[in-house]
Amino acid sequence: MKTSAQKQTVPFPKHWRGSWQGRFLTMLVISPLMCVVLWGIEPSKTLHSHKRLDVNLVYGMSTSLIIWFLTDVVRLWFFPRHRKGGAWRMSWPLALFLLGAITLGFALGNWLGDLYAGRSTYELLTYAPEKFMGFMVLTFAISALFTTFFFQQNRLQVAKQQADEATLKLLQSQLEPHMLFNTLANLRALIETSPEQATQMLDHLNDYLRATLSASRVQMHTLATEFERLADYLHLMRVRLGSRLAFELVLPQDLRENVIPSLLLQPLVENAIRHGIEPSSHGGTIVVKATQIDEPKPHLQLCISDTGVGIAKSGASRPSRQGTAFGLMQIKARLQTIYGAQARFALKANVPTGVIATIALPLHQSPP
Amino acid sequence: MMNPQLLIAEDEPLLAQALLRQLQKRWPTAKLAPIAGNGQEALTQALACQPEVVFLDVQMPLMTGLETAAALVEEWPNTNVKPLPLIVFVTAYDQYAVEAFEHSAIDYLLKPLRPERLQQTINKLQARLQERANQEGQGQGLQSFQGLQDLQEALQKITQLRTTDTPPIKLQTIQASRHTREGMVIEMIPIVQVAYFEASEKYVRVVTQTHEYLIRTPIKDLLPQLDAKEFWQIHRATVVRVSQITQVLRDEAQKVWLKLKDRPERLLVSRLYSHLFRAM
Repeated sequence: MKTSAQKQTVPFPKHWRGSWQGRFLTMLVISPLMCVVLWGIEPSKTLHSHKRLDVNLVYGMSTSLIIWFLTDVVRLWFFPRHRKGGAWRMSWPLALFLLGAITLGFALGNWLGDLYAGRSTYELLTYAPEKFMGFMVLTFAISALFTTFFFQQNRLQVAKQQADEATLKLLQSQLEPHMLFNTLANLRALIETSPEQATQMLDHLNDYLRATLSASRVQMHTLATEFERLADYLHLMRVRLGSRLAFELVLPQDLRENVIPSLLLQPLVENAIRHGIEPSSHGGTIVVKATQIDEPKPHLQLCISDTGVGIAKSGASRPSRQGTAFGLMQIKARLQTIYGAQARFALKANVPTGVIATIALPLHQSPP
Repeated sequence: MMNPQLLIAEDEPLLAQALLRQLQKRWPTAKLAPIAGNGQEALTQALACQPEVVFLDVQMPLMTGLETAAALVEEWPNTNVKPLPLIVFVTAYDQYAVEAFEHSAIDYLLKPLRPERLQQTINKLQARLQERANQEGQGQGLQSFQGLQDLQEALQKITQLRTTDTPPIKLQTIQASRHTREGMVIEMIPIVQVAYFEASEKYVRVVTQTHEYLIRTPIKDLLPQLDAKEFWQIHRATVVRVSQITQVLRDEAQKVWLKLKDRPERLLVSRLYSHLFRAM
């Protein structure tokens, strides 16, 4: 967002960023500024037909801070999920709550202003109803603007956090001792027999690790990049598993520049290897395919299928299963944060064996 | 034992080849059997060619190295023509296995293999084979099963470590489905009624005093959910309620059988677990 530059110039503790303290500070700085600006534009015709700046400030600041308090702090209390780090999703109960909170804040703010000015805003209803309406519309418009801004900020922050988590999870799985030592053992074996192949394997490992480490800096990247990372990983695994692993990556030319959340497919391909191919004695094939689907609405479909041992057989009580479930939940959460109801994720059994994971996403040439 | 036969079980081809080359170089008198690519293959091959030494990768498809070892002990022919192979486990990193092996006399190697470490293992194996050859003819039957207690204890320890890491809820009731004339019925069997569990083909039989039920949960998944004080594993395929055991019999073929309180049939104890039933 464009606000990031502005945010960096405001000096407040880093952990306040994106927290209620940060938002309170934003309100504390912006609301008097707004009052002064509004007063400056038309000092004679301000909504309270007051030429005094202090009265204007009291009305404006009490209204905006109370509305902020109700829509932000009180909301966290009413919607516990918002407190627990989930993305703030708009829903009917939430919309009703916000509407009520703004109305209440409007009334309370006016009451405080009236106390200070020693008059009643509601008198306006009799002799200048259009002014009262204008005041109300302005209050609602400004509140809507701020709420939207804070919601957007939260969504971006949660998305960033989830991208970081995805990267961390990936790093963990790469540095997972079984994977790491087996890869190194293969490398050691290749150095003796085929230094050329060893160099190739080292290059793949290199690219793969570098990509994961830098992925934390980008939340979204192109399908072309995503497929390159998958290719690195699959080449590595191909060295290890030999003829037991076959794979195919299908990416049509016109989808290459399409943007998706970074390393979204990686955990699914990893699952296919770990729970599908590795436990199978004859191995199998992994196909990763991107397609544009035009019905009912044009969207992007990503499909990861394997012909491994399948869901039921991969050992229901293996210790790693919990990790897998966590990985899948994380993919769902990421999709939900970035795309909301526009994205879908499904996992089903392949025929005759294996698993098919399908993700439906909106088509995007640039980050949404 | 001049030309011992060695069998390698490893699912990653490059690693299998690397170990094979190292063994050829460092143990030129040994004969190498074709590489087994999974646990099942390793078991079949080991039973067929009866090698002196088996190198078992811990993480393999179909059967893990540990399961393969347990199966090998149980299915090894009882004729005593050849003693049980010496087993060396190979693992990249199995936290639980390594911890269990460290505290036992079990041979294990870590991947990537270090030539010096492999040489140590080879020396040890050669010494043990030499010892066996010297003792040939004098009561080799019992001697050939040395190390079984180590293996059983390590297997049990690994199950324990896994269980303490993610403690599963102890089962109170077994839910077994059964087809009747009215359709599918789920029977709820209180765990206290179960005399023993026995694996067969695809199912596990749940046996009470009066009835038998079938469930699909394999023994290895069932074990962590049972109280280790109440239920003992006595065979790869059998888990018995300890309080059901009334007598332990040893037949002329040195096989150990259990007599139960509530059931007429006798249960076979495998070699791996027979040391659990010694007189006090």
